[in-house]
Amino acid sequence: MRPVIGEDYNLATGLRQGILQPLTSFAFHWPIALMGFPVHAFLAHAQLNTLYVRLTFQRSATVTFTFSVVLLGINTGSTQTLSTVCRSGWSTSSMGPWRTECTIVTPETATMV
Amino acid sequence: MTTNVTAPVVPQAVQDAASFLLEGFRVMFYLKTPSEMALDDTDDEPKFLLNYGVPMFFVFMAIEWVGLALRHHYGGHKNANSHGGERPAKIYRLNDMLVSTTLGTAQTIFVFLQDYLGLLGQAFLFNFVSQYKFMTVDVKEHPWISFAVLMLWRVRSCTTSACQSLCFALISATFRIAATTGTTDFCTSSTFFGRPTAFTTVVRVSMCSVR
Repeated sequence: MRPVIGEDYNLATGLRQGILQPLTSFAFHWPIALMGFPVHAFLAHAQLNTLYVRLTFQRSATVTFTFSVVLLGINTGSTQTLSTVCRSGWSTSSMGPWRTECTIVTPETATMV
Repeated sequence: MTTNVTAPVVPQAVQDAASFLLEGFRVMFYLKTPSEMALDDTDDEPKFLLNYGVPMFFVFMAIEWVGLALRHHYGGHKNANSHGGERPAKIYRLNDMLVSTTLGTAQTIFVFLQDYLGLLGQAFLFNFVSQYKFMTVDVKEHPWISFAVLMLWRVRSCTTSACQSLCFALISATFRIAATTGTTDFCTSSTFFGRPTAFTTVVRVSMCSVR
């Protein structure tokens, strides 16, 4: 969303921020603390997000969405490796990007493959 | 005949400046790798904004100043503004830049004052809410999923607009990782704010049976 700006629209305009604005931002971020992420990882992402948003004039929605789609694609591949290891005689079958199940290997399923 | 071949000596100041600019570029465009961003309590507090962000912003402003001045001087007048090309392209105005920079500096000073006093700062509020956390995510064990969740929560608070479904998928993946790696607190005690709730019961029944 395009912010309220001055006559010029350059990089310095991205620095126009409200002084008390940081007080209100944490209300949207407390679930991260409840999920148990470390505080230093949260602070690192907070700082990089602040810089990125100001650099792109707070119009980073499209860029961010594209980046998140790329991240989802990368993460879909790595989720398979994060899943639980099945017992011997059982095989891993992917039920989608976020779901993996262990199925027993029988001669019928072996011939189906 | 012997040839004495020596590598070109780059001054140490130039090397430092180049490494600073490269690192600042990565910080400004969010190009840090997830393993670099997976900072635990054993690491130091990150100082990206103070060490790289603020100087690099002025470096970029200087580059933009030069570019706008060149465009102002050498053509590019047509359609460079909303006056039909009658006026030359805009350059930096000192009063506009000073006001913008002062406002940004005021906010940064306010944030640093918060963090310095330890009152109502980001770390203070985070640690306060962390008293009531119901699971623990090891960011060094799962750097990619931590990177995605933390970045998206900061961007649009993960509850609005288009990334809602994506963020729910990420959060469920986070729950699943915590349940499979056994770092959850809600699998053993389903309390939340001191008492069990419907949310913790649903999470416990749906996620803790994975193990």
